[in-house]
Amino acid sequence: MSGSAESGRPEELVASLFRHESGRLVAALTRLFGPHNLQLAEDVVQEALETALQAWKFRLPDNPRAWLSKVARNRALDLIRRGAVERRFAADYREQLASEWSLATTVDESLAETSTAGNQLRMMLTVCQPQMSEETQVTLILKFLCGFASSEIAAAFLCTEETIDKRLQRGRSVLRQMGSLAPAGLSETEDSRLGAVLRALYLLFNEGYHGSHPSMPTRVVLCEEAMRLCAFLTEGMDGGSPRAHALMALMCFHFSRVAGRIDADGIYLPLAQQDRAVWDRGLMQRGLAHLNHSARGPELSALHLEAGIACQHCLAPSLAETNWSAILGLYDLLYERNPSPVIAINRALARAYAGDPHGALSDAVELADEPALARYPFYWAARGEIHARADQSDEAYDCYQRAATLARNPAEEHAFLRNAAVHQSQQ
Amino acid sequence: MAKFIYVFRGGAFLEKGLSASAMQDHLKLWGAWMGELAKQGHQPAGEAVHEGGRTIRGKNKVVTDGPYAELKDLVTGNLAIQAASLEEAANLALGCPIYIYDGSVEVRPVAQMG
Repeated sequence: MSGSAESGRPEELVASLFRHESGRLVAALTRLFGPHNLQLAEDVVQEALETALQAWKFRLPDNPRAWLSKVARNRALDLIRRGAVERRFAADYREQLASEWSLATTVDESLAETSTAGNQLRMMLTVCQPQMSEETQVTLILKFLCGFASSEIAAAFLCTEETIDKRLQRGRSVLRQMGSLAPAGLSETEDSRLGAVLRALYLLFNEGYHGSHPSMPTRVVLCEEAMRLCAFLTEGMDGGSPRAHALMALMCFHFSRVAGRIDADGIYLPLAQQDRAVWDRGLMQRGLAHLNHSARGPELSALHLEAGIACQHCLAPSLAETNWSAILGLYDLLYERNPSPVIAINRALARAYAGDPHGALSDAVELADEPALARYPFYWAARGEIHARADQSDEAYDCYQRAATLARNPAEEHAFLRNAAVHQSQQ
Repeated sequence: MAKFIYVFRGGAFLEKGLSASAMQDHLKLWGAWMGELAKQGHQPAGEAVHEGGRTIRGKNKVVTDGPYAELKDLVTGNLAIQAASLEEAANLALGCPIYIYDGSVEVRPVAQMG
């Protein structure tokens, strides 16, 4: 194989091709081999990527994804032919893989483009097992569907590689007990499994959007991965589940504002100071479309309510022109469903903006002893804001100072101190 | 302009267990280097080789499996380029990303046939 670099243009390689192909191929092969042979699927994929690294250095193939599929296919056929007798493959494919008559067709079908979304959906449902912690589920998603290495996951979650490896070990030991990938259909019984996937994706998105990383307040790649995987849920199954559409809407609305949230110095900008012109209108439109789809079922989940709140913020031309009474109403419903202190403080803030700062203040003060809020900087920041709206500058200043001492990264700390300074100057 | 051959030995291709991102990042560096060579008119044309193979050696034509070499000396590809001089060809080879993973590039002038 020889050729000039010009025709191949390796510099145009899609930024995450290797990671995403890893996720696609691991899911396709695990479907055939069974979750108990996950390691074998990973080995085949690793080998295919290493072969690509060698073969593509002078020139990209015309269709990199098809090239990788073919290498993985040949290796898989080879393994199955050599080991079919002693190895037990996925229960639902055992017969087809055992006979030369159907072997190649079965492997091709699993690796086909048309199977891509379904395979990864099933893989997600498989790795979100109820007996695993949510952290373990997210770790497995990042490893097997997003193609991240342990060291990369550890860096994203600010923990040691050892912690990640332990989670992977726990996850693998659960998966080893499973004979096949989880089915993709969405019957009532699988609804709780879908809930687990949605929670894991939401956790992943939040870690990227307002995570606790000290030097990188926003990690766009985690948000993008959560949205990419959620698309398998909204597109994959009979028009998608309403809750998956609600989560996608929520993520679109949040992510559309990502560019306005942080200023040139890496400091968080409060909503009041954000330049709404840089918000991504295209993504908001996508969010609205998903919000429409989410309304098809009879269900009004917490995700629906959160998406509704985020939608109101996106639609508002300014902070003052925001429909705060609508937001307050949504927070009331959300609190009814899930009376958590974090929702309570956000509801109090909405109440202050909706024109009742004194009522909001008594709500906020009541929450001061909540253990869940003791080290939560945004409680003090919200309370500072409520004091400010009640014309209590001294108290606002103190609250922002307190928020700053609890901040998890410099971007948060600077933002709180900047707010404190505003109220100090008024003293 | 004269023709030169780069002989590549070792490099990332022999490094097992790299993460998908690390592989892609490395491949991008190759792409950037190849793109630059092409843009400057050096007409790069290369061939990568897989691991394994056979070696035939000596009067008795003894055939053995695999190339015999330390991993870092294992040939991993070659590339023909056009350059004004050996100096220029060697200078261009400094931009190759193979050294990141401890590989080497041998720069050889191609014999002219007339």
